[in-house]
Amino acid sequence: MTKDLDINIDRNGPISVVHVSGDIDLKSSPELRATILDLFENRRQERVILNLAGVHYIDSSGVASLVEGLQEAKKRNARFILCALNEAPRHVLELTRLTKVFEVAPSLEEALK
Amino acid sequence: MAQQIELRISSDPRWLRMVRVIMQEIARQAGFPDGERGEITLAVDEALANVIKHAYRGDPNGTVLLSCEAEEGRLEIELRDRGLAFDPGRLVEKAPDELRVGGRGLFLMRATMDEVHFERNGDTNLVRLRKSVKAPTRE
Repeated sequence: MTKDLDINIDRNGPISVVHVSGDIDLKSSPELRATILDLFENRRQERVILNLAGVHYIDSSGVASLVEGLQEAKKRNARFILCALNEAPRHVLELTRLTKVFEVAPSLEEALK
Repeated sequence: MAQQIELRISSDPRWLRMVRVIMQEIARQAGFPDGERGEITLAVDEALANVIKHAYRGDPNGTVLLSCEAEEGRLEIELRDRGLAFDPGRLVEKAPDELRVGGRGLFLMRATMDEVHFERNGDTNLVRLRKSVKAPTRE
């Protein structure tokens, strides 16, 4: 089976950038969830930036994975930042009233500041 | 005249992407603009994901019948399955602006479609989604 989602991680000390590309849905969201939680729980990252420039679709299971990531970050006083949101994922976060709950950066450069 | 499309799909999440591509095209044919096509696609994806998760409890061997009736500026989509009886009242549907992990699928369906209807007929669950175009466009 072909993969619907590509996940690549750049780690630099306590900061990780997770580059995500593809659709985040019921099939692919468990892998994304596991990746995010691993960075906080096992790798003890202080800042995890999710680069969503390559994501044009996210469903409620994907949103649930992001919320879990944010919960884990808050628990550890870490930061979980979403960046480079395309129109469709942004619309889903707006519909679910989560744009103000997440820390959202317009670009990866901004998220790294 | 209304156009009809029917798909018989296994209850396997691998087909969600294919269904989204098909729904985009059906909505385009029915005259929905880009943003509303995305909303229809999201609602059908959430409805199918609900069937996979709740009616078939993740078993990929169930069957889902997806039927669409499309005419200019209007779309009606029905999903039928023979899984466990689906009780939408059991799903959380309160305002989702809190840090709750799940329970946003049904909310998104209602937020994006004009009508979302659930019923159980004998051993079959039915979900009906309806939407009319808000701002007709020509392409």
